[in-house]
Amino acid sequence: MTIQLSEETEAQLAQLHDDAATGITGLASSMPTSVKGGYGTADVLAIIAAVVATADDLALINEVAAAQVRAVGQEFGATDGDVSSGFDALFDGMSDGNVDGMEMARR
Amino acid sequence: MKGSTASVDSAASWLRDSLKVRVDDASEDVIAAKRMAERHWEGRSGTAYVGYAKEIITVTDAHVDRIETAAGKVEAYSVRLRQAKEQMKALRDEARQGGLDVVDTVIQVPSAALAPTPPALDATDRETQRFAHDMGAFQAQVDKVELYNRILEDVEREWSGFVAWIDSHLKSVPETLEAPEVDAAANLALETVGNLGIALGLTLGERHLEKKSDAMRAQVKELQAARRSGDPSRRARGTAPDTPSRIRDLNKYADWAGRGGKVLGPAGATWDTYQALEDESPGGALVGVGLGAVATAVVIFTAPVSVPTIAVLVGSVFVGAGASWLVTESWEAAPDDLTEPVDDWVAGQWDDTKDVASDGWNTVKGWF
Repeated sequence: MTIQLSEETEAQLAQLHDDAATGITGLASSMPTSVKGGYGTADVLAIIAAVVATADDLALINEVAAAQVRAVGQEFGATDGDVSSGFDALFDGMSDGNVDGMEMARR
Repeated sequence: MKGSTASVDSAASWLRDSLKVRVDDASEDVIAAKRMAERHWEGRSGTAYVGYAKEIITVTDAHVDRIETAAGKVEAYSVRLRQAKEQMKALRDEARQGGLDVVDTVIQVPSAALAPTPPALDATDRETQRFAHDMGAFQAQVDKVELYNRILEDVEREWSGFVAWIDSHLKSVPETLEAPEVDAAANLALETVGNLGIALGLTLGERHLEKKSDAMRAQVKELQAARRSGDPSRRARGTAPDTPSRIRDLNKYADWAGRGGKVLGPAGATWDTYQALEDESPGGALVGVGLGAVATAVVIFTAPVSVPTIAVLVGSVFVGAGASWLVTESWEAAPDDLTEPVDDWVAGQWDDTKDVASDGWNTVKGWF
């Protein structure tokens, strides 16, 4: 089956993912690299580092998504089935690993 | 009490006003992409993409919540730090008002309170007046010593509470904010892209945020190691100068001071006087503690009832260790019929006052 995705839609989808990624990574220059927090400085830095690292992962995931959407447009996926299996693999990878984490986060 | 609440507040603001907003915006971007795909991307590949986008939205929204939690924790620390700093400032102000010297943020140890030698029985009026004046100065110095001891106790209590708060409110937070599933998903995505041979974008390849996060974690390890390190120069970087351990060191010095040292002179030497009064021959021991029997007896037994017992104890300390030893030796060598009545009288006086002394003494002996 051929892929039914216009170039315009593909470009817009990729751009949205790019925007999501660069919106996060664009904060790198303003990110506090040190905090004068006294005795609790290490703990404050550890808290910031924890959420920044995950934010960066989310940026990466979006940039990969943008790259994949563009790849579809450039016929990297070749067929609808090939492309769907690629996204399915990513979806499964995220779902399998994050169920517990999501539930914890919601609590 | 090191630390800037403005700096901590700034970090919290960055988390809430910058990082959280951008991550939330990222979620909105992916929601928009998902909706567009639902309308314009048909077939199995479109359905697979929508499923993937939904998962990205879910984990992104969860992270917005984590960032809010992180910002709240950092803000809470700022409030606690401010409270601690204000409490320390209040103690410094109290120290100044009580006549103690305060250099920068350090309350200086007061010098020993030395009791004046009482005038002889045939002293002139001028000599008697001078003694009264000197006794006033002595009492003032005793008040400073007492104030210092009490403030030191307050400082330790405040600092211990501050550290305990950090342990209970911050220590475990980073672990609860970790999202290994997102990290795993990122690695999987990266691997997938690599398998497809897709070139990474500039932003993706550099990963500035991740590098900064890693650098921050390295700082965390360094600071945590510094807290535990016995190396003074490293410890100085990782802890404030007035940490509990340092205060405990001071107490150790105080113990040493009680045996002739000078670090906390009057407070430490009080112990010697206490021991003298508990001695089998308290009269002779007290003479040994003071520079002369009359001086010591006057300080202890002529003190007005209104004078705190601890002040009387401190007042008997003015010690010269050599003179003390000599007098004690002489006392032991003197005939019993001469020394025993004095010992009995001193012991009796001491027993009468001990109950009164106990409350005040309990506030001090914890430092030894």
